[in-house]
Amino acid sequence: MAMNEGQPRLGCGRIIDDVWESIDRPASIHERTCRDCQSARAALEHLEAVTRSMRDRDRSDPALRPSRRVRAAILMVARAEIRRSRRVPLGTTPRGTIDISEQALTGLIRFAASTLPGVRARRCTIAGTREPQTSPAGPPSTAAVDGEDVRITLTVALSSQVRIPATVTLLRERVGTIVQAQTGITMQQIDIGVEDLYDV
Amino acid sequence: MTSEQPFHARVVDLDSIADTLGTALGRHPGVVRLEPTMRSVLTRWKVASVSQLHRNVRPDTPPPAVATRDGLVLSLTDGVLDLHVELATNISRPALDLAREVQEVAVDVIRASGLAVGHVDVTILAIEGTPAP
Repeated sequence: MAMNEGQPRLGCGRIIDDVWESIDRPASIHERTCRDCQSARAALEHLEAVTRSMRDRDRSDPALRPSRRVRAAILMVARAEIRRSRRVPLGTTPRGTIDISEQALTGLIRFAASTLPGVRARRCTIAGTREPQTSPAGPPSTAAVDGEDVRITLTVALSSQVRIPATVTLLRERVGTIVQAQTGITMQQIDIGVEDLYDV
Repeated sequence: MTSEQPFHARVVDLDSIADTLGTALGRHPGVVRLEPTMRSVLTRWKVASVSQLHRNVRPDTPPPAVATRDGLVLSLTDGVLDLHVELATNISRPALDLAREVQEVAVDVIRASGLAVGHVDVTILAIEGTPAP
């Protein structure tokens, strides 16, 4: 109540803001019997009607609509946000938390794969080892991935000149090393699928 | 005539701290840029609208203590500043180490402004030098 000490009160002791807060609801038992509140409500109902009509007018006022440029900017940021997908926590320092977007992590994994000759990265998905595997067509999960329980699935195309088992072993090591060096994440599982072979 | 009433130090031009943070963090080696997100964009508009309303309705009281820039959201509560940073890093520097450095740079800037430091949370939104997905 100390915060409201300076505010004028109705005869019954209530603050006018309290009446205003419930103006869109039916009168309370107190308000139905209190003359001060009834009088305040009558005045505020008029104010509410005026503000509602101004709000309605603003909604249809073309001058108050965002310009095409503003809408385009919002959509651009929103699309980028969707692409960045979920966050993976990397740790907490005494200053605060650090996390990374799933998009940044998959980009890093693809980069790691591309550093090996004869490897072309394709799709990459990230999940926890305890999460159920989702199909690529299914809706993406919105929950954060546990940074200590990361499993990736990477599909690649390999050059027909390379030995597949040796290259996949090397690729697994390379991805694990680069992701660890950049983010501190030690991946629990790296699944690699060879989808295609290409001629050099 | 002097007053016996003590003055309470009251900062704060939060916008100038946001500008200083934006410059200091944007220049830090390995930081490619501070990234705008829906959160920072919408918070900026909300703050601008509320501040305008505040100036019209209650010009004598201090405005709400939130400021945003691309990739930065600052909020001040009881002299304690919380900060969220969203950035893109260069692959030439380990992203996790860089995020820790960014936290320290931000803490230095906030302390230099005379405010207490709350949480400084960092989100890495992109690591560049990587092929486009």
